[in-house]
Amino acid sequence: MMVFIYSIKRILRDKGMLLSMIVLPIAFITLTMIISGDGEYIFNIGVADFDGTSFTEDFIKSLESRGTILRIEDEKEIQRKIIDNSLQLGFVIPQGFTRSIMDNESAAEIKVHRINETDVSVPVGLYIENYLGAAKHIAETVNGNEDDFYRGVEYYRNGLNGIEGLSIDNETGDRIITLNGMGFLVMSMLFFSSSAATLILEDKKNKTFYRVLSSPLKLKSYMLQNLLSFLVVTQLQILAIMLLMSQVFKMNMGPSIINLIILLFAFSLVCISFGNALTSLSKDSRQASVLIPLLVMPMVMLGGCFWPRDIMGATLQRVSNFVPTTWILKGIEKVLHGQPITAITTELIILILFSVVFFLLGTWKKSEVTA
Amino acid sequence: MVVNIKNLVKRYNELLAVDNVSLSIKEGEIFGLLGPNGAGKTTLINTILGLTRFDEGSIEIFEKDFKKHEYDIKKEIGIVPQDLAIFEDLTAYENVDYFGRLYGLKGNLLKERIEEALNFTGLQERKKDFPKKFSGGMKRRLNIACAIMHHPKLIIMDEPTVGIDPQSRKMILESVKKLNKMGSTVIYTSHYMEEVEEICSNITIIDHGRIIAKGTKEELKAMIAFEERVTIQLSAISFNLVDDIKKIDGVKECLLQENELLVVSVRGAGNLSRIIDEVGGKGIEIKGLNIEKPTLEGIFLILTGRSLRD
Repeated sequence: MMVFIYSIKRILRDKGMLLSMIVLPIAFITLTMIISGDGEYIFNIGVADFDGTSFTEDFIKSLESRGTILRIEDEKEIQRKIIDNSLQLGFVIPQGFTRSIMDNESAAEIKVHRINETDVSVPVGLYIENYLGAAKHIAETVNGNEDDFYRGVEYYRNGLNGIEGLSIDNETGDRIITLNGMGFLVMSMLFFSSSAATLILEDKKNKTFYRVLSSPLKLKSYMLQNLLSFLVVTQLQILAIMLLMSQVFKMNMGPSIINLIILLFAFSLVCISFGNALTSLSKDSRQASVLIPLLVMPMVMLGGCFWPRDIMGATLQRVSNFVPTTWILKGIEKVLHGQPITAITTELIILILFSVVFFLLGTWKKSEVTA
Repeated sequence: MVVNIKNLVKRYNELLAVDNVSLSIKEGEIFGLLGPNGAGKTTLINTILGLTRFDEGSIEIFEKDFKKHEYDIKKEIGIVPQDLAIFEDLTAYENVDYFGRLYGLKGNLLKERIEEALNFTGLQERKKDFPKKFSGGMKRRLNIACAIMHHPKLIIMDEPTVGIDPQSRKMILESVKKLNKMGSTVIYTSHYMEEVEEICSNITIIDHGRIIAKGTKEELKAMIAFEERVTIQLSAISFNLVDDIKKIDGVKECLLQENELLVVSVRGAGNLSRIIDEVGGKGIEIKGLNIEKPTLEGIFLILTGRSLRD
């Protein structure tokens, strides 16, 4: 196990690797925490009110307890802000909307914009649906009498104020921040394991590989000990980052840390075999260091480490099914929402398949040792 | 025999890298392997180490078939590669420790051998330093320390003195002699003919994958002892000069390297004045003239038609 022990020593002495292993994810997570307002989740609702009646005004005010209301004049601006994630939900109230409700017409509808039905936007969407549904029933009951309509809506609204319910809980927001943090951990795992694997290329370059293989040690043993050392250091990385996330940043790690660790272990196998494939297919460490960002960054972006996959187009989402980062983040999301280990079986199997494919790629190209 | 190679053939597609090589190395020898770049020396060493598969022939080391006893044989070999093969991110001590453990040493014996190897190479004082702080010569010495710390029966040194200062070179050559006296058989390859002349008892010259001469220093020198070798420094060169000199009675070989003409004649040919006349007749001034004694460098030049450092 001598190669294994010295390999760990060499990794831990390498400042560049420590940077990609620990410093990089911590920096990104800290940045996320700062942007998210010290752990408090911000939910922005954009409203374009083209009707401008007291009914629509009261309705918009009633939403203030559900998020920060931003008045916007243009529907396209709402769409743009949703794409760049500065709005989590937006809706457009068309002109004549109040009249159409009071007249019991179905022509005018509120147009709701959101990226996807996340567990944050769904409750607000439901609230809007319920509020307007109730207003329509009131209008039907009062036969279009405006005074009675407004009085009825006020009764309804006052009733709602006493109800605790559809608001976004802190835990949900926390889980989103944790998922973002996990995205950065996933990214740094990929970067670190690929960089660590270049140690083998370095050994080939400085001829120690040649010398090692001139000794009684077999190539298989050398490779396995190296890969094992990368795997062990990756586990240390996972534990260190998770410890920081839960103890220092006080992030919500979901109900089962064990399930998270199982998933991340499966992903570390993918990372190690990916690094192995990369070293096998690269001529030297210089070529590998060019290839690492070229391969890792698209994987990270497609998999949703920086933003939710749902904001990408359908084609990109289909393509993202072919990168392992998608499956680890899908799995993490499920675990954070309390789903049992059985619910992440598909993700685990796919991750194992990815590691097998990468491993086979890594062992496919063999060449004779040269001095 | 420590090494016994019979009819070894190694091909890289169309290229014949080792062409039917047979050689034997006796226990206690310092065996010199000479040849220019691309001659097949390193390929031959790699096959001895089991790093390159060969196509035909057989290799026996310590009178054991290499293919059948690879593990046992490798435990008894130490390699000093042509390029430095040390970890820059491990200290000198850790480097020696790493390779000691690779050869199965552990515990107190390992510690003793590390100290011994560092003392032997004069690196004891710098054992906690990383090689990046070392001079070229110190790195070469560390390269040797890693190869000898397990007391191998056979040490293969592939150009161990390339690019180092004279002091370190002297130290390395002394180390080779000392290791040999301690019982190790050494295979030594070098571009520096004077090194091989100084330390090797048996020499094999290889070119284009083939052995072109072998024997003791004395035997090899005797091969050209029946020749007269004259080197003439010229002020200029002439197109037909070499061909015209070759036509002179008694001239065996004539080679022109830059402005230097090497003329090899049979002993007692008495053709020196005719050679000088031939040069002068072409209007070329003779800047210098040297009648050489036989050297290994000369043997190499005669046998291969080029200098060893080509």
